[in-house]
Amino acid sequence: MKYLMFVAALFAASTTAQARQRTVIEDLPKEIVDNNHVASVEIVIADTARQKFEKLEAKAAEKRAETKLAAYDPTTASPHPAQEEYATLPFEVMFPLVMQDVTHNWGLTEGKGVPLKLRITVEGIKTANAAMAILISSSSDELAGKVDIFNAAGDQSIGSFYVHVVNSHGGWGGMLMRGSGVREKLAQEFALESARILTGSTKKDWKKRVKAREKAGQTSIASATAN
Amino acid sequence: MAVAGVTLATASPSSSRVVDYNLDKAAIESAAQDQGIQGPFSDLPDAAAYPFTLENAAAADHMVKIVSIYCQAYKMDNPISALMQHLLPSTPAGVSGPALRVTKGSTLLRCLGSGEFKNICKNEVKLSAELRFQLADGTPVTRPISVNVEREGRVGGFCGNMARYTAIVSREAGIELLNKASAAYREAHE
Repeated sequence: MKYLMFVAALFAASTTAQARQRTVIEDLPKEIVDNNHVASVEIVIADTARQKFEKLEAKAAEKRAETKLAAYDPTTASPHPAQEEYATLPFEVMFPLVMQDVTHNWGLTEGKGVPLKLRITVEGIKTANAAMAILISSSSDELAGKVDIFNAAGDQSIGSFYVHVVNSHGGWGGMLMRGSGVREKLAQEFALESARILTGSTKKDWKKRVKAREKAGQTSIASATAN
Repeated sequence: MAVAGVTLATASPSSSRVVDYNLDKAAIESAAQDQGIQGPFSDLPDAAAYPFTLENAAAADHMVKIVSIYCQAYKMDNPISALMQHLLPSTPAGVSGPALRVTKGSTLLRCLGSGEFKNICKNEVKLSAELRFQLADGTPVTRPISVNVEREGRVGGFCGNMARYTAIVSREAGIELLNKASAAYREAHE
């Protein structure tokens, strides 16, 4: 009983919070907003993120070895690996895939409008420190970077924005709830904020899109079951 | 601290600060040392050496985007037109000839952790313009000119230091824009 009360107290004292911030630096031309698709993504790792980035890369390679996959080789790798494989891919391969998956989900599908090239400069990447989260108050997983948007056809800069994702975890329970795949979660949330800018979504419009997407998902499940 | 980088814009309804371009080279070097801002810093150019006039500089006036954890509530206007007027005074209306038409400007200032308890700031100023002139045979030419200057530095505990930092980086971007346009003009006439 004492043990149960102790665990309950630990969970009661735990917190998990998400904060995503996007800042438009140079507005996209109106005719391109929600009339585009991501044709390619280039990743640049800034000196401020390099140290942590290398540690995360080593961890992804370890995961790859644990799952008995061969070391990643860009010459033989599939251009569209399964999502379950993302956690084992190098960041520079995984992040563009996540960005394309998320923007596709929000309607920016291949062939739609202007093809864009995104150059993402990752300036900050950090994972939560478990000791800090448990003993002091909270610690956070973070990903921050600048996105420069180019017209893929003409290589002309047409806009830019900055995204900062912060996922805070407090206490033992907060760290347990955090789970695995931290790098992929951060990439996904970064991509989500980017999609909001590329689609020009307001909060209201965003809710509508979420509902439409859920409805479309339910319809496809229902038709698959009927067949 | 010899030259304050910020003046309070009392006329502004949003009570935002305005970047002050009243900086000479000695003040820039002293401020740069104080805030660890990367050099080198350009000398004030000779306005008479530029073969064009400046147009529409107010198009580059903007609000600085601050995305660091601290000082986010600090609003700051960057009047690029005041800087450009200082570097290359505007031509009186009605004067024709080669012209550098400013189209847009932006500043992105962020402070990031670069290791345990270490912080570094990066300040990036982007300016875009169009250089318009005629070739010897009368053919009209329009060349897009853009510059992107980023310098590392520190802000310390004072948000006001951000304005001085922005003034220094913007000045470098303004001078680079003029020099790049001048080089493009000369190249077209060779």
